[in-house]
Amino acid sequence: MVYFFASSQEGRNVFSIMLYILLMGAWSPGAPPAEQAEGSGALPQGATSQLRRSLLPSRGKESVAAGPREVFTAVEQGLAAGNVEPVSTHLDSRVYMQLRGSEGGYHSSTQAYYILSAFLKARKPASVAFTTYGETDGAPYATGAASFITRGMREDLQIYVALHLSGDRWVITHLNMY
Amino acid sequence: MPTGSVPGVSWLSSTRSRRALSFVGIATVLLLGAWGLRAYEASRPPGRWTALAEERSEEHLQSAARAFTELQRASRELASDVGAIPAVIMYLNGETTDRRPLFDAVGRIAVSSGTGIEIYDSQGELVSWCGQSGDAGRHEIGRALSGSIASFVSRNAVSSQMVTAVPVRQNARVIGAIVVRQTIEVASPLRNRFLGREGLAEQVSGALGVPVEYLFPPDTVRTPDSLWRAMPLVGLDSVRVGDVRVAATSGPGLSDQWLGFISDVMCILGSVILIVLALVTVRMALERVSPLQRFLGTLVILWGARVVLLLLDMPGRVVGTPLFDPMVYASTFGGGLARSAGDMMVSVVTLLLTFVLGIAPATCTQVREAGTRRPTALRLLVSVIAVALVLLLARGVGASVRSILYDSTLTFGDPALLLPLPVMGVLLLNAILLAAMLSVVAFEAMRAVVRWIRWTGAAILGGAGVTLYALQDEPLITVPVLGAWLLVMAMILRMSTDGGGRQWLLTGPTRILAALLCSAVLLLPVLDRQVGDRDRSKLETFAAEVVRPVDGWLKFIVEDGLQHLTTVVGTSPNNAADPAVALRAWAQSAACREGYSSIFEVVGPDGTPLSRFAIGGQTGVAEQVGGAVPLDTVGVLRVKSIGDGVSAVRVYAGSVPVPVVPDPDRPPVHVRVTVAAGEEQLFRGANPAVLRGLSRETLESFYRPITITEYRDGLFLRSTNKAFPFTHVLPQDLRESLPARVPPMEWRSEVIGGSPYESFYVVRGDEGRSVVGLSMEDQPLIMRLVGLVKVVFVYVLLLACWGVTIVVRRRLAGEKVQFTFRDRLLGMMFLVTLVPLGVLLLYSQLDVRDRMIESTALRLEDQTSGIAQDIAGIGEHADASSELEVRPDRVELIASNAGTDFNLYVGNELRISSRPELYTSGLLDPRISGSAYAEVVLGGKWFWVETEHIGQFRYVVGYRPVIDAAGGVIGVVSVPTVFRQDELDRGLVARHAVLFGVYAVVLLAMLIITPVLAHRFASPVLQLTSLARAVGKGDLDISRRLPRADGEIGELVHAFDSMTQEIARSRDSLVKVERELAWKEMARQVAHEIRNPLTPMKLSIQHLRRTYLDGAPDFPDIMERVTRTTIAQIDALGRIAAEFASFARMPRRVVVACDPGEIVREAVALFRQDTAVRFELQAEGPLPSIQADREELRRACINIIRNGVQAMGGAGVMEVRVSAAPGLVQISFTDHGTGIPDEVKPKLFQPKFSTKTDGMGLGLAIVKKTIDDLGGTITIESTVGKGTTVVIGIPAGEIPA
Repeated sequence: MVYFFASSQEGRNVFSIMLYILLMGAWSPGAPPAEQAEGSGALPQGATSQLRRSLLPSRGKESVAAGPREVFTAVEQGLAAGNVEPVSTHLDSRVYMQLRGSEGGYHSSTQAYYILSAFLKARKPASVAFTTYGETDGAPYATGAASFITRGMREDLQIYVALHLSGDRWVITHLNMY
Repeated sequence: MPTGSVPGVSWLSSTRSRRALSFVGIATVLLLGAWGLRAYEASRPPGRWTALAEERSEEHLQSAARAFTELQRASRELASDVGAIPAVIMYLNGETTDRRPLFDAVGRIAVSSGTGIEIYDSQGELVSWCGQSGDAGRHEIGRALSGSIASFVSRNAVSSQMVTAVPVRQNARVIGAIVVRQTIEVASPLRNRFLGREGLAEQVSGALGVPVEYLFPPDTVRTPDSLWRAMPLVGLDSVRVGDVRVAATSGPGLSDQWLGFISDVMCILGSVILIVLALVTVRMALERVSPLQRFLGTLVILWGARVVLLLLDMPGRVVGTPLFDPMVYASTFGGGLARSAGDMMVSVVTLLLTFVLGIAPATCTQVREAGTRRPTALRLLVSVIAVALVLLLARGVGASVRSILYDSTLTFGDPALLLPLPVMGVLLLNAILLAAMLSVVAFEAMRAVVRWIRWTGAAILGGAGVTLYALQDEPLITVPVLGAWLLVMAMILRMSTDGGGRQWLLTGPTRILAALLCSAVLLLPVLDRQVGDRDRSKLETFAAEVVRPVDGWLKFIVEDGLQHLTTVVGTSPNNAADPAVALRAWAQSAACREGYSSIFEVVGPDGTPLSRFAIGGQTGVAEQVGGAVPLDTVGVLRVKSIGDGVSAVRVYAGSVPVPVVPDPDRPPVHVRVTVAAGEEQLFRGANPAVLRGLSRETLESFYRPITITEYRDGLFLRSTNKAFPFTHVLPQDLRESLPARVPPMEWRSEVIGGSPYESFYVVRGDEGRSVVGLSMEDQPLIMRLVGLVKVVFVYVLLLACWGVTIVVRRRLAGEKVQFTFRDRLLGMMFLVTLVPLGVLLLYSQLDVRDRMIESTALRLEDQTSGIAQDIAGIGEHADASSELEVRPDRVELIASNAGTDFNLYVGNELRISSRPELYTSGLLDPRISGSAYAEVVLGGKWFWVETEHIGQFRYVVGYRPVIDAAGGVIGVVSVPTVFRQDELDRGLVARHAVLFGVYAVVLLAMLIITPVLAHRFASPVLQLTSLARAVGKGDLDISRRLPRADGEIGELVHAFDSMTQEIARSRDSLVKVERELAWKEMARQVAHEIRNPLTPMKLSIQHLRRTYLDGAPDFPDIMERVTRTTIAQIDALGRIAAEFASFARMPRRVVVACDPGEIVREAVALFRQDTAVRFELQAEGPLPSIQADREELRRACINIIRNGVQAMGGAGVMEVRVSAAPGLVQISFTDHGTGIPDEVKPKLFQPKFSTKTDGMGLGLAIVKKTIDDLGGTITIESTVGKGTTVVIGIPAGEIPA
């Protein structure tokens, strides 16, 4: 059977199909479960989305039982270390983000991950600290200040992070740094 | 592996590979050089960089100062140009009193240069202007009127202006002054919204790559520090006007910059080397290996290169366009392989190359029947796997489409866009290529499955697979779409083989077209569905904002505002009393950035307002709430109130005391911020997005109109859409089911007011009594088709690029590219339809815009009329227009009645405004537009409308004079209104939908009709061509096959028919003549040959008779001799008769598979016995069989051998060789006889020709006929005196028809 797959035209076709799956099929994104909990329509629960989530190591695992404070702490530590992974774990499927130097807008969690990565890559964190925690109508938020060094110049920013409960997870819905 | 080739070595010898490797070598040398340079620079002591950094900082500083100086110079030149205009000189000289030409001239120059221009007469009175006004600069104007050039920088809370005053001279006398105002800076974050271009600091900063600041009084350069370099700026009159400072370049920073640059160069070089090496290796080194090795090698090399590019962050690192911006698109696919649209494109191209280079396309000869020899169970198992994989891959395509929509900020369904945006086009192209490749793979899998388990089995397996697929929750691709896709592929597969076994599909172009067709069948419905899903998803996000006001965020906004106010007030003791401080603080705050209606106040200890700035339509409500906040309150008070419209207006206010610096004993002032979270408004009655974060999910971002409706206890409360009937209530089942859902949200399709909507209902508040419905109009089918047409356009573009690539490639290879008549006709018709469509679309846009302006102007005309009447009534009570005063509450009343804001200008100054803060703060120019003044005040027009700008934001303003009862002009009232872009877009959409729809129909009809037309036009010509070839081959019986045609083609057909008939007649006549000649010749030859033996026979018989009668004694001897001679001659006559019969007859052939070697051996054997010739027979290797009549071929060989034997005189050596060539068997006969003279060679195969004394000369003619009938060839090479070689070539296998 190995010989068959290896030497025949059919076998090579099957190989090509497997290549296609490896590169495209199984890892194509589907909506995360959180979005389904909100009642939005047309969201698959197929194996691919589960597989995707399992392949993104920093997403969907630690945040299941984390409270708001833990989430804020993770964000604070992640930004202070210039590491986006702790933050991306808690991103909602759609996040409003406004970072200095760019217009604000709603982005998917994937986009938010890469935008934040690019933002932190261009800046060296000097200090990040939340100073105020609050909650209104069950929506916790935190504000604070952050300093980054960019091209030798110090940049002081204000941070605002807001969460809401999606299923049993606290997820970030707003992240502003300017 | 093919024999005789060594993989990896032989390809190096080709020219192309050497050229490629040379290029790689050079690039590698450069890369090593860059690496070495980097290592060297990194190792150098930091002191070297310090000196360079100092030098660089100084250069930057001088450049920044020069930029300012250049700006001044340009302003001065502009002012001088204005002063030289004849109309200006004429007026200033007193030669004319008509100022209108001045306004025309100034207006043109000001608009084109983007500056403000003012003309002053010799008395210092402003006589003409255009553009932004500012600080009057009386001192500088005075200096200009005295003959000197002056300049200064004017500042307000919003912007900084460079003001240049230049005298106008005439005959050495100063007759006036020209003032040019050039905006230098605008306070952040208003810059991008209020300026059409970047400020000077931003421009210079961008050019130098370091932060630059221009500081003008009252701001000054702070205490010098190591981080900045500063120097003073002087005006044209050598007076200091301010300072410029640039961020100092540090040694480490410069070093990092330089090393970073080298790293970028290394990345680029490395990427280029990698790509070239990968392609060269795959294309050449793997050319001669087995298909499996080629596939695996391609996989490893190409994807290895892709991963390396990913790690190097290439090409996004150097391209840096929205194509590589994750804000536009980013997906998790492949762990970063699609982290932007550009990265996804690179990955898709890599996948495409893997397909093209690594997997050989199947052809008819490669489709083997090997599968039939394998066990059935194995075939079935592989078939199941193949079907499952195809369905899984199809889902992958659906997921990639979903990602394109959900992981991007692009709007795919907006029919207002004529064409897809470039990034959108790239994403769609990616999806098309993926779907096309999937179709090719699926096609191959389907072919294999059909071959193994036949159509029935394949259908059963496919049906089972689709059923299983359908059992998923909400599969990304619906079953009908999947079924249609599989069905289309099955039809193509079925049609791809015809009775003759040719597989037309498998040629390159048709294969690609079939793949694209299948991809369209799969992709377009999926895209359409996903666009609808995404619209719903966006609406849900918006709904979440509507029902869940972000109180924490608004508290943050207030706190941020308080912080800015505190900072601004606290920095200087004079700031507290500065009226502009509130505006300045607002301009820096998040409230300004986000566009909230807000009030910023500085209030003195006794409650006296010291500085105040309010903006937004909700300020009335906000003022009441904010005013209720005690001044000593520290914190935030939240009050909820419901104002007009449906959205609740939530007001947040806070106040903090700020100690007065430097006297802490004085009572503190208070800063208070009030923010109202409602609809952001600049002008009453409109809803522009000029001040807020432009990307928030708002109603304006939906291209399908959204209606927000609120219900209370199921009953209609209010709605943003007047078409919604107030009798509409929530359905009972919805009222019951909604609160029970977690979360309490539900989608419904319903008809409201006679129109279909998709409505999303969500419960607001904890009580559950209030329900908000967000309804989105159903998008008509025509609009959805317009969206899909844009995707089809990407297909067309792809095909066009592919076609161009093929043409260019062939031209470069020196091949001639020919387009068929159908191609030319199709291209011509495409252009003919496309050009007018483009013109129509352009005209449509202009027309719709003009109509919009027209309708807006009509509305403004009505509004200005009403307001002018109101003001005229008030003006009757004023002694003079200059004393006209209107109380603020009256202004508010007039504005409310009119439903719009208004301004009143007296002279050129703003006297009354319903939005005074916008003008006093400097956000808007308090001076009347110069062109409006010229048209209304000077020109006497009753109404004037023009488009004005706040930066890039356009709005329309109507002007009308206010005339009192006595006919005097009190002033000019202006009414601004927002250019309703959304209405314009909807108008354009409707127009475009019709045009696109018509074009789509025309295009479709053209695609159907053109091939038919082309076929109709070209078919007769093609048939004629085919018939001409047949005629060339001798088939003249074509009359019945001539095509029917009329016109010129018909005449051609008729002429062709006549020509053919004439040829046939001529041929018949020629044949007849030739036949007669041949028969005559044959008869002559026969007569000659017969006469030859008859003569000696007669003589012999006569001699015999005579000797008998004479009684000769030797009569017995004579008898013997004569009879022998006679018998010999009779034998000769018999041979002649036999040869004649042999040539003339048409023997019945018995064609069988023969061994050519055996036939030759038999022929040779005949001569071995009877002659002294030595035969060297050589048969090389295993010989393929040939299809021939054994006897006939043997006779041919015997003829040739006999000729050779006769040429050698019956002795010598004859070499006979039999060998195999590709598709042929070659038999050669070489003798060493006398050879054949050159003049004889052309006649060798002629029937009557012979060099021998006996025979008919038919031998070689018979041999040639035999070989020709076998489809072979016969050639003769001979040298006189050396010998002759006869070579026969006979096709192996079947005789071709």
